[in-house]
Amino acid sequence: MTTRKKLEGNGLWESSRMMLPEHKETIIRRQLEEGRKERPTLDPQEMELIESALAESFHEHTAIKVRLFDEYEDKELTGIVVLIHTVRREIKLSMADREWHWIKIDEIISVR
Amino acid sequence: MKSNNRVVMLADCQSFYASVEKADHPEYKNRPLVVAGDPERRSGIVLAACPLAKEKGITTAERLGEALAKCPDLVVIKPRMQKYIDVSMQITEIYKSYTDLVEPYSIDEQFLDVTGSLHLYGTPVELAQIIQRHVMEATGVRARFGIAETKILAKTACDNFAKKNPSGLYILSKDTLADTLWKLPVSSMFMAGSKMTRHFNVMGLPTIGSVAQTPLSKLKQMMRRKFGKNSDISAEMYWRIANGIDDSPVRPGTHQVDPKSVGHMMTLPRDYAKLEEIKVVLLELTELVCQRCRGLGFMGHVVSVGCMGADFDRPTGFSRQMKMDDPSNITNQVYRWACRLLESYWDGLPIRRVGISLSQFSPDTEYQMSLFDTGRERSMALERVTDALKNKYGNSIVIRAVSKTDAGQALDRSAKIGGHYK
Repeated sequence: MTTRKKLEGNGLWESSRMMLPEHKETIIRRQLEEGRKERPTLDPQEMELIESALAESFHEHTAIKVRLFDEYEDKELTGIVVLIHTVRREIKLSMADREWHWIKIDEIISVR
Repeated sequence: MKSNNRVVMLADCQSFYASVEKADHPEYKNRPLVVAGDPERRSGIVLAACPLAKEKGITTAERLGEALAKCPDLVVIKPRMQKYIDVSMQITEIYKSYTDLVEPYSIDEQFLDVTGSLHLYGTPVELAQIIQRHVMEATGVRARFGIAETKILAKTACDNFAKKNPSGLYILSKDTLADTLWKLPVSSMFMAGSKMTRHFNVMGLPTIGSVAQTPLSKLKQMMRRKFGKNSDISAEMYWRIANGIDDSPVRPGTHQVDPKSVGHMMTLPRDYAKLEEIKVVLLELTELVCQRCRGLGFMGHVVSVGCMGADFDRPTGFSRQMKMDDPSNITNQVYRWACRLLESYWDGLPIRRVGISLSQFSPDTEYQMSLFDTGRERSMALERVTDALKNKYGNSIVIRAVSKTDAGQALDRSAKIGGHYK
């Protein structure tokens, strides 16, 4: 019973509580549901801004930061657009350390 | 925000299970009522007693037979665990309409940090009264509030003072500890069980104040003499509790941490003496453990099996663990290793309690291919389907054939929460 953790953070309470596993699962499920959000609808002007920012990065080789939608937590990636696939509506974003990602343009909710 | 201006509440629900039943059965409003495990058996235990029943001298955890002797017209109700979880969640939602910082501590106790939203409602007592009325109107349950600047003081305020106050509210401020908390016997201190209370008394520390006012270094010395040098952390813990020192945050996401191990254990309805019978329950428990791991997206590398003998006077049994060749969450794979443990360490005497757990987790997105276990993909596909069915319709929708034998417990267990019927 004598572990250092009891004196740190929330340790005293996390080590002493009595929770039914079923209760705990309900709490976690509820929290995940609450954190879940709807995909925002972008207006056509914003779409244009995003597309022109992507095109600019592609032509000028400038780094941009794209924000990708996620139900729970949006993701931000920084890199240079090296390919634009217009039919599949995807871009290839090249990042540091020779890493790259294919990104669906429809996943992007903002560009900086 | 600095910790000395926090406002933390511990809200506790009075006779929770009994209050929920009374709200649900208005016809018993003015009658003494208890919720008891298994009312058919007089040896069942009182899980909760309403205030009217407590007036008759009935206490929680006493035998139903004794309670009935004290009060023959007692209303006895079977526990409905799922209902209590639902009402507890409803109360959490009510608290969350006053602050986003709500941390459930048990089914009937929750911490609230109202520091940020207090100014919208007035004083801490006014806010507590508003929440108290809200919970009462929505659920019929009476909530009591311990209010303080730390979690430990809020809990202490609730347990020792708010519960005894007619209003059900109590503010414990740090500068009045000497006249309030410190006067109480050490047995009233949070985390001090009967053993520890005895030790404190022997050390010449009969009140919470005497623990608080012993310098920490001296308390450590005193406890080292009794419990050896590993007791420093305990000493500091008790010293902080007695002094109300606690910087723990109210953490709503506290339950979302990844577990270190996943296990299930059950007490059997009778003694099991045959290997085949024990194996049936072991398989059923393995299934539950693996099912939960699959739901969490984990594979375990170490499997532990424990058995406890049936004879309480001459304790037998074992608890052993083993590292599997590869991490897994596939029932049949884990079960094979669990059986090896059981067959090697079981002494052949009848047993009353079986448990199994998996630990040392890794994510189940990648796994080691095996030349010899070609059925893995098939097993995984099968378990994905059975898990989906169970999530939708309950665990009893698909069971193994052995669960239909006399030794099987899966059906009974799937109807229960915490050992009591849903």
